[in-house]
Amino acid sequence: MYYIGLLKQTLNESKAYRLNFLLSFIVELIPLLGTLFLVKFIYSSGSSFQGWDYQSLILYFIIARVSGDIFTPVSWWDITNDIKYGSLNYHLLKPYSYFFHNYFVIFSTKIMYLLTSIVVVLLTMYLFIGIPEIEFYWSNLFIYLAYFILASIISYQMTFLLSISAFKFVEIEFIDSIMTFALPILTGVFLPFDIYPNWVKSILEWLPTSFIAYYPAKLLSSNLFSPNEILVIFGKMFIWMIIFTIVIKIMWKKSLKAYEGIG
Amino acid sequence: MYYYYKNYLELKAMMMYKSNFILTMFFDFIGMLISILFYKLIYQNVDLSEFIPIWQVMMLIAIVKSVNDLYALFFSSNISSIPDRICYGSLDNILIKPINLYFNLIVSTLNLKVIFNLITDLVLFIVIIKTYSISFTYVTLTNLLILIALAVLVKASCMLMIAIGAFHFIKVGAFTSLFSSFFDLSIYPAVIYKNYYIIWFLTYIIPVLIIGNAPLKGFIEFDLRSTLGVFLLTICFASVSALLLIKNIKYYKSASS
Repeated sequence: MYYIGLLKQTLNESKAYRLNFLLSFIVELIPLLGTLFLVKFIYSSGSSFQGWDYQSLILYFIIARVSGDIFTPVSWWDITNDIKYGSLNYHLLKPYSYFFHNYFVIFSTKIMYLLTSIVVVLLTMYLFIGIPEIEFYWSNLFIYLAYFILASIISYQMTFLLSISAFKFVEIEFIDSIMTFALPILTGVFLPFDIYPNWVKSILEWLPTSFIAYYPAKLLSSNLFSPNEILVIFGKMFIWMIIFTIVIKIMWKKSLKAYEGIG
Repeated sequence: MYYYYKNYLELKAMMMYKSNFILTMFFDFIGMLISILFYKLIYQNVDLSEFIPIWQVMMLIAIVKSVNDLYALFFSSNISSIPDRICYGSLDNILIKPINLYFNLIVSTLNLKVIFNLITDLVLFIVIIKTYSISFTYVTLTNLLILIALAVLVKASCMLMIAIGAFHFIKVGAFTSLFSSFFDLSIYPAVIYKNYYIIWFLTYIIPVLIIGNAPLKGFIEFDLRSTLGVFLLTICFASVSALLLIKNIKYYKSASS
């Protein structure tokens, strides 16, 4: 019950930042327009990327950008500040899980971000491909929902891991700076993995960052995956979830021993 | 002399943070590599050489990067501080000085951190010219340098216009980000925009194509009319921004007098 209340409250709170979310999404979208125009130019000049038709590739780039914005792991300021300024004990004394408390705070904010940006997303899609022709199956809806729940958990686990590195380092902005450059490539926001050489693609597909943009964008933009491949993707997700759960448990236990609270 | 000492002291202060200096250079270098990687991968998968050869795209990246670095060196720290000076009423610290207002407001403080980025830009130009065996004449090279200088001025004028908005709006950070994100489009070749209105918009309203594509065109082939056109456009943008500054300065309220 506590988490549902928290979800509702954060959703209400983040409503106040609707315009801010919309503007920040547009700021992200404008450079993407260059890539979309480039794709349009490539296909109109008679060339194409192997395995991709025009509509799927345009959809891929747009969905990857939105998905990247929602799932990209960051060092979450609430957690790092709790650790840095010694206010973590306030949460530790409460009868809820600190891990899940922040999960609901982060994803209710992201849901509001998604809702405010959806109009711009649809408009951009319409400008480039008109009304997309996608065969929709209700059974796929279950797959998408399951995927997004699992992806949100993996993405949050990475966020949590990054944030609790504040136990070790006083300032972790440099991690964010490195991530700014590395993540677009590792997540598939930059380019679909199929465009890289095969050996690079195989590595990238096994990284947990591939669940952030590459797989969701490919799942939604085209029906390129067979049922077996979808099972493999879910399998990989479970493996990474288990790995992250173990690492987080060990790091959290060790870090709490070294933590000094204030108040 | 005042400005020499002012910038010299800033350089000395900056040298205290050597690792920060190195990190700035490193991230700048990585950003450039990512743009190169993007086009390398595209050209590996699709043959676009008949529309735009790869060396032109690489030159475009180098040109855009040097325009951005020159803008950062001369203008960015000055122009980005204007909205805050207006908001907090400290602009008169600049207005009362017995030095030219525009110089004082727009170019007085150099961002010396980017000097090393300019060295990487130069190396990048040399590497591209050597790798792709690009032939050029002194005329096209001079034309390129002139057009790069004009592109820097155009960008500075645009960013100044946005900063001037702070006379009427409390915060212009969102507008600045929005405008800057348009300039991110300058690494794409103009040939991809087929619609006349888009080209017009990206030339005369938000001059994205002046930043990278105009100098590239001037380097490929010297055309006096094009260079003069960019020159006139630069004068237009600079005059409008100067006029806006003078017209809007009457709305400024000082907090210190």
